[in-house]
Amino acid sequence: MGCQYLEDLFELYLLGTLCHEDLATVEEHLARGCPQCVEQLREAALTVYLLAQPARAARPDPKHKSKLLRRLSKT
Amino acid sequence: MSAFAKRPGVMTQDQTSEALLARAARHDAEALGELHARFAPALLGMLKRILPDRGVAEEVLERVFLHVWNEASRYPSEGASVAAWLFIAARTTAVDLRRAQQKLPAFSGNQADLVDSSFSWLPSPEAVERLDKRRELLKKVLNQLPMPQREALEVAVFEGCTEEEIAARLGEPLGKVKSGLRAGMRFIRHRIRAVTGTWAANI
Repeated sequence: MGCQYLEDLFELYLLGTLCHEDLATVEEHLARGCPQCVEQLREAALTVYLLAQPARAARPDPKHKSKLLRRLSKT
Repeated sequence: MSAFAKRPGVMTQDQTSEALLARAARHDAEALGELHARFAPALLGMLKRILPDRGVAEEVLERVFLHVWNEASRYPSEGASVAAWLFIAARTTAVDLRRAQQKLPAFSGNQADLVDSSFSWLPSPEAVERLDKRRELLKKVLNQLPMPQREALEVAVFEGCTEEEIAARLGEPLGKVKSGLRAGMRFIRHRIRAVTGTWAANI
């Protein structure tokens, strides 16, 4: 049986929104490594990426970036 | 400043984000700094919607870039969008924290592990670039969704609620919330296909 009927679940899976029953169904299909499911998941990630875009950006505190880069330079 | 002023998934400067990440994998901190400059403002905008405490949102932002630094050497050399990875991984980290702060159960299933440790689910840089080019239009398309569906989607994305929690929160039957969320996602997916010209490849 094809996996097309799962198509509407992959965005909600990536968001962590699915109820337990649907979650188990999606995970079972993904565990099989089905190429169609992986392709649908990749398309779902595109939708989630769009939905996650904020209406407004925010300027990060430059001190945090300096601290981060100092920390990296020590690794 | 609008979050859409730049298209961070596209080659806006000298190098693509994927090329910068490849440099970061070779411990080039300047490349990570460039990725930070490119993505941090929009990421912080998203994180502040999930975590209203700005200080906490900034800490998560730092944690996300540390994660990027540590994982860069495992990142596939092609076929996986850095922009999509950053936004979805950052959202997952922030929602996990928000749920912990609210004493709600952590994500069930393997979703968080998948996002954290695998890259097979990521769309291609080219797919993200096509979407970014039409993002202003697509955001307007989202406004065509009926208000209850839009509200349920916003709660799912920015508050990390499960379907059961959304139903309780909105005072709606669970079945109605589930069908509304699925219909909303289908609507958006189809509009992305139509607007980015990928419809034929997906049917």
